[in-house]
Amino acid sequence: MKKISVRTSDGQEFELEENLAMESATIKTSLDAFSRDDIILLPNVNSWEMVKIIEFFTKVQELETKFGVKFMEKKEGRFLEAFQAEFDKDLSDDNLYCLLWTVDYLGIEVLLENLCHLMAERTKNKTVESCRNLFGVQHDYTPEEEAEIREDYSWAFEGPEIEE
Amino acid sequence: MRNKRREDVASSITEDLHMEILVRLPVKSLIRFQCVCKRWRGLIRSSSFVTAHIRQHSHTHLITDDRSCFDQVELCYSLFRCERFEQSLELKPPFHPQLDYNSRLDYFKIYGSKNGLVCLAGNVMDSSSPIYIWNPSVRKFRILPQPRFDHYCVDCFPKHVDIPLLFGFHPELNDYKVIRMMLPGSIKMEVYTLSTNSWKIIQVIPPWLNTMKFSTRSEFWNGMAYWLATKDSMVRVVSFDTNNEEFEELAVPITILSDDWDAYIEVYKESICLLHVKVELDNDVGCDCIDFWVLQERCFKKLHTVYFPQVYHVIWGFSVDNELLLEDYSSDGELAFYNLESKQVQKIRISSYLSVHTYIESLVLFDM
Repeated sequence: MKKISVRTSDGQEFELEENLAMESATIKTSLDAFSRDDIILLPNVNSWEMVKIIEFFTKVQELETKFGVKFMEKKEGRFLEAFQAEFDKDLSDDNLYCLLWTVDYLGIEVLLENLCHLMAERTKNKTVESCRNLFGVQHDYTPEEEAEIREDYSWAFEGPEIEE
Repeated sequence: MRNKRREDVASSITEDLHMEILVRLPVKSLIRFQCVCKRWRGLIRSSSFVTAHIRQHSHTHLITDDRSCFDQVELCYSLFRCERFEQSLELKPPFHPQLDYNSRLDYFKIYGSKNGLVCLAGNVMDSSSPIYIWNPSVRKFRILPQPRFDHYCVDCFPKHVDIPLLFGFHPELNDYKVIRMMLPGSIKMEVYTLSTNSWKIIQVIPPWLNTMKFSTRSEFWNGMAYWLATKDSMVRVVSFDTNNEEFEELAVPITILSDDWDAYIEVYKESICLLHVKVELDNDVGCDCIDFWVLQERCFKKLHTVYFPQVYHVIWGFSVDNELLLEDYSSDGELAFYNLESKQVQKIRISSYLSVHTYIESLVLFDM
């Protein structure tokens, strides 16, 4: 199996198996344009993110062997659970957000879907303020406007599951 | 270094990516996150988002009419999350219809559940009896304007058939319809459309429609209504296209041999199918068998026959995962799922209900 070399923004080099590298639409485009022997430069990708992506591919192969299902081809509930448990451990909210952007940039669809799902799980019980911070969104409501929404839908702001 | 990166990402992240995350959030979170910013509020309320959100949340719940509330004044519904089937929520609708619970004919029930909207009504033969469309997830509801026809007159028509309301989704129009058919005597029909909030009387009723003997079984799918009927001891399905307002008689090669025949019209894998229940009393243990007929190009074809080891009674339709929902008559009306492919029965400890419907969370009616 041919190996493709990539270099991340901080100068580290990684080797990916060709079929896995091709899962990234961005890398695939580069490979189609240039020779497969050249190192592909990924100035928008950090080394820690690349490590995570390789971790993901390894996990997929493991689970595909275990369950006998081609996870890269379709979204599978069992994979989501296993994936979440693995990825959730050492990934902060901010890092998850960055990884999400990187995977979107690289165009790795299945990983992107799973990360979006993970991000949704992380976000769903947040308060409005912490959600705003996490997504880096500008607050553009006047206090009166916001108060009106909070009053109209007060039930949505209550509940034991909402993190404080 | 990570902090700098974080800011770079925040400035270049696309709204598409935000949407991919938002669309996977539960309804309650989304309602709260309206306050995050005005752009998000607009996005969450948009029709395209509501549709995309429905697609992400198709595997969720069952909603039941609680039997225990039959004698009470307040309506109660229970929501059960699929997979675990534990009661996740007790729902009390934000409306209180004035109903006469003394009359057996006059009880309030769910007529349909689609894309998170639940259609409820009491006595559908009476035009003053309210009909509601309710979205429990966003806590919004609409009372339908009064229908035109009123045929509730016990003295005049002692043998009336309580044809259920049909409630369904029309995907091409991205709209919801309620169909009310009035029997007996000369058939009258009217159709309600959610987007226009109005009833329309169907003017052209073909004469052959009055020769049909309608049962109480019906289904709405893909903009078409289907009613189960009989004529000359043969089973018939009457279809009505809400686009061109045309009726059609579909033949089913099933002969009715006795009065206690039973069949259901349901949607299975995006096709209309007929489930013909045959109880065989040859054995010591009564064995149910169901013939599956599927509508293919305006004609019903028999797909296969399914046998059940015990006596299952009422069929409640198919779940989102295409499993048959059954009421197990032998164990106090407990619910069970039957998988047609694996032939596995999964019992669920849900009982004491008037009816069961599949239900999903959605944002429909949120912008009301």
